Amino acid sequence: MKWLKQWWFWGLLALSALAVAFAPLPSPAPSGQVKTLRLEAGQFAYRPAELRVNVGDTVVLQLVSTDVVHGVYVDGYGVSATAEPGQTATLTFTADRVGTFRLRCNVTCGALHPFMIGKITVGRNDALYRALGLLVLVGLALVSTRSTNFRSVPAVRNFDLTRFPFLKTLLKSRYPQWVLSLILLGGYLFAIVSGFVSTPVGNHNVAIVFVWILWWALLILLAVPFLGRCWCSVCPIPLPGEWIQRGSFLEPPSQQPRWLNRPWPKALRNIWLQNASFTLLALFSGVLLTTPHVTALVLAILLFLATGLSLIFERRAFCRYLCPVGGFIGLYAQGAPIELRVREKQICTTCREKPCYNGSVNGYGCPWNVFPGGLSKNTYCGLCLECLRTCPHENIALRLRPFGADLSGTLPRPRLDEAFKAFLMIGAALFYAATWLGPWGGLKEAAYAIGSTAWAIYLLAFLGFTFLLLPLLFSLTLMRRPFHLPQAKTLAHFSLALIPLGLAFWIAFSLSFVLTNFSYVLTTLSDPFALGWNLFGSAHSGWSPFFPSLLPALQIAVLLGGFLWSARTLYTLADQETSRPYPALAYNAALTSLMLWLLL
Amino acid sequence: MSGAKSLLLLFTLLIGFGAFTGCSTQDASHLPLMPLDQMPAEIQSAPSVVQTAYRFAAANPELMQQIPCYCGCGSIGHTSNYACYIAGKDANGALIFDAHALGCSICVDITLDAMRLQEQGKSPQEIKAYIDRIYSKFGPSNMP
Amino acid sequence: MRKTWIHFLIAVWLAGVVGVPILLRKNTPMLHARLPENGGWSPAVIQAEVNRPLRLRLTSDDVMHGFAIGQQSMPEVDVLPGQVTEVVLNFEKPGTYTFYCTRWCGPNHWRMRGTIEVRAGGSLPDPEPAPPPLYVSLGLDLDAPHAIPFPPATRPSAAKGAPLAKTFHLSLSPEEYRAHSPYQIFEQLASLPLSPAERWDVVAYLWQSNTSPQTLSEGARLYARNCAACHGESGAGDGVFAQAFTSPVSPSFSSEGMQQVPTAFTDLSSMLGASPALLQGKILRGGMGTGMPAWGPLLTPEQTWALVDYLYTFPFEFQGVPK
Repeated sequence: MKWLKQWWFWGLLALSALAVAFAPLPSPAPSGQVKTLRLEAGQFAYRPAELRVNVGDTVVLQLVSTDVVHGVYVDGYGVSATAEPGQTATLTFTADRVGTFRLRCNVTCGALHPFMIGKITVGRNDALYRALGLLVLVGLALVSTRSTNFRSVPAVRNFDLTRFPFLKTLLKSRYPQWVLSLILLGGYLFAIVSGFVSTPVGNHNVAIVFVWILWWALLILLAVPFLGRCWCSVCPIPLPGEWIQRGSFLEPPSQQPRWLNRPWPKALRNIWLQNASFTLLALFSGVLLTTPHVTALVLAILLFLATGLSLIFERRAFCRYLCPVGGFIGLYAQGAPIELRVREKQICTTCREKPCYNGSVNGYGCPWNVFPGGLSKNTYCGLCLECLRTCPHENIALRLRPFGADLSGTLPRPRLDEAFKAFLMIGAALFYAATWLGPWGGLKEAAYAIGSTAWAIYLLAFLGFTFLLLPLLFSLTLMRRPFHLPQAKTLAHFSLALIPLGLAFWIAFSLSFVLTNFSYVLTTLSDPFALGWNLFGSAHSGWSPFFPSLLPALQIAVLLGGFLWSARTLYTLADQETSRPYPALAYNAALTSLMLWLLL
Repeated sequence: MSGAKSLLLLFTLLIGFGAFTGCSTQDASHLPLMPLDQMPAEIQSAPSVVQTAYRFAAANPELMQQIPCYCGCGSIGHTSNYACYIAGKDANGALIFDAHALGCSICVDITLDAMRLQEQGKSPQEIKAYIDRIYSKFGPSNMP
Repeated sequence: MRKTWIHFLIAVWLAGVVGVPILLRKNTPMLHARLPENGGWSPAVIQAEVNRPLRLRLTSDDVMHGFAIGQQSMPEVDVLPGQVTEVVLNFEKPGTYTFYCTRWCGPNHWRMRGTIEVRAGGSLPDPEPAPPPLYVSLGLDLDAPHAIPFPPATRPSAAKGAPLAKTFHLSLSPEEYRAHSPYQIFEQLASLPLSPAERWDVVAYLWQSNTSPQTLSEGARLYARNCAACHGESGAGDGVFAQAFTSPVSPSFSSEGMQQVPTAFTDLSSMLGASPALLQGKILRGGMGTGMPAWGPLLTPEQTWALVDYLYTFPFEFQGVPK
């Protein structure tokens, strides 16, 4: 009868989850009242930051602009108005949909325009309450299940892509990858030049729109979660340096030029520098994300650094140790359902020349300074596929695999620099969500006013939250006895559970940012030089958010999915340490709740 | 080796070309202007046209003292457009600025016109005659 | 051979993506609009030839601006950030024209003005002499205080004044209207057997009889677009930029200058002491160092008078004009 009892329990849980997610809630009776609200719009916030009305109110929004022409667009209702100083605009609508909706400025009003956001709550914030309810139910389910049951997922067999002769030939050829990265290098240079010479208005400049909206969307929503480091395999940044370093555009030359070829300093053979470079960009994000010439400058610096380091150090020193993007791609690539591994380790141990690492006439030695024979996780494999070309034993395979295969905890423990990467990414996602998607103008100003006192405080808060508070609280959840903080290796071990969580945070954050701003990609595509062209007829299509009604549901699904995945990882990790996963589970739940509250 | 070298050359050229064209500044006025950093903070944060007018007036007292103003400032003792910008000199010979033009529309318009005409090679008399004709339809002059 | 070809292709591709944007941007002349603090119009002086179409490509480098030419009938166009608005202008008379921003872009919005020099055969004619404004010929001092001693307690009503004016056969010619303040007419009516409140109502009627629904609606439009940001949408001097004009604090300044707050047109005492000529003068010339722009180069005489007419709807209750 035990199974029946269990089925009862699970059925009830599933039913309540369905109810919490979809049941129509009794909405308060329509008030039928007219509610006149004054909404002041000034660069780059609305005052008040959050409006509250009752369901059924006839809302009369009086939009007063206090500096330049602003607008307001109400998510979920799709109504909008624009106002100029001295010319108050009135927007009337019936508040018949319960929930919290974002107010967005729909007239380009300066640098931070895409982040000018307010809120209106009609009745109550339904989506948030439903999401928190689901989180509680998921937590309940997790606590009631035996962790051994939970982690024993059906084994999915890896699917070897290189088994197919056609695919293998395609992957072995250097051309497709090379042509793609050459096109991307052109795009990259184009973005740099556009950032300097084209319009200084971010949302119409290629440097901002194609980099921070289009590229970022493809990277974080598709490439990283599904294909791991595939971006690195075509990234144009190391291309010129690598050409010069190798003395060849394509095939290995008969004789390689002698650059310095120094080995990378031992003390820096970790990703602390990548943590630092990402933090640096994150702290300047207000200017970086909105100012074309700053983006262009950063792109140029990255290209310059990558090229310079190629001449001084061996292989791809920049990608491996310095690239601000590569750091988190490597972190999250561990969850991706794709891997490059050797088929038989035995073959590698007996292989004498090891051309995969040392290079041969067929290809270059691993640019990432990794010996493929020892590959056990995705973090530092850039999927450049050179080893596939050099291996004389056909021992390299590119395989599809289950999500999160590198997070099993059975691989060599992550180092502390990798653990802190996980904290950094979670901290940055939370900070970004609060700063750029929240209704608080003061935060945006502080993040934008580089060099000011407010910015210094913002900087300290970011560093303190990310590098002190988050790791400290996480360590507390791992204590076995009161007041005995865990060892660094334990912290690093459990930090693997933060990887799915952080990835979900970034996807949820980016969904909002990308969907609301994607229309700028279409307008900029038609007028790439901001010269008044209309190549594809979309230059004047204006701004409109994509799927604003669907966005909260998507974000909830992603965040809950990330929480569940991280819980599964956590259970596995806790089993290995024979400790209880619940405190850390609560930590993850708290962070997820915080993110839900920030985004919904 | 030659491939590597030609590549290096190509990139240096690209960067140099980009930097050169990216940094080319707008053609600046040939007229003498007082450096902005020697001026009070309020002028430094004023609209660009106001900055230019102050900088030009401060650097061209001979011309500006011959140019009338039509903003009505005769009633507060201004005897030329110059007086809208510069109130006098202190004991050390440093300029004392007048805040008047910070909030004045016609004063600045007149100065910008004077600059434009001077650049076209007009004499002070010609400039004054032009200003008189354009601005007398808005008010009385502060010069005889 | 193949290698050279590849090198050539790469060089063309990379030089192209770098060179094409630079060349295109450098060789496309555009009129850039920026916030007045960041440069205003660039270029600020434009050359044109009479009766030859002048094609302008307008773009904004920051926020929404607008473009129009002073005293011309050309419709205003919006200048949008990062986008290009094309206008083709034709000037039939040589001379200098003022172009200006038509969208409020901060307290200094009115500083965004530029000049178009329209030449005939390469030469710029001397400006034609123009008569002085009405307030100068009347000998009015624009900057003298003009508040009246005992303003009425409520807004005088033209509806109430209309029958009284008919009874006493009162009317006011346009010339008299422009040259006199309401208070002066009120004083002239002192001999009539009417209470002060009734006399004010008569004045309100006489004032409205010098306006028309067309001038009032045109005035209302101009007021909303150009004046309300400082003087307030209700005319109370409480616009969003009312507090923007403060006195400088640097010790290297001599006088206080622009210490004024925008005039409240709802203040009966000062408005009833102001004649249309005085208000017109203030609009034409602007406030002396107060931050009030000079509208003379922008508005046509008709527009200025329409605006003056409209300003009296604040102190007066005109028939059929809700406030």
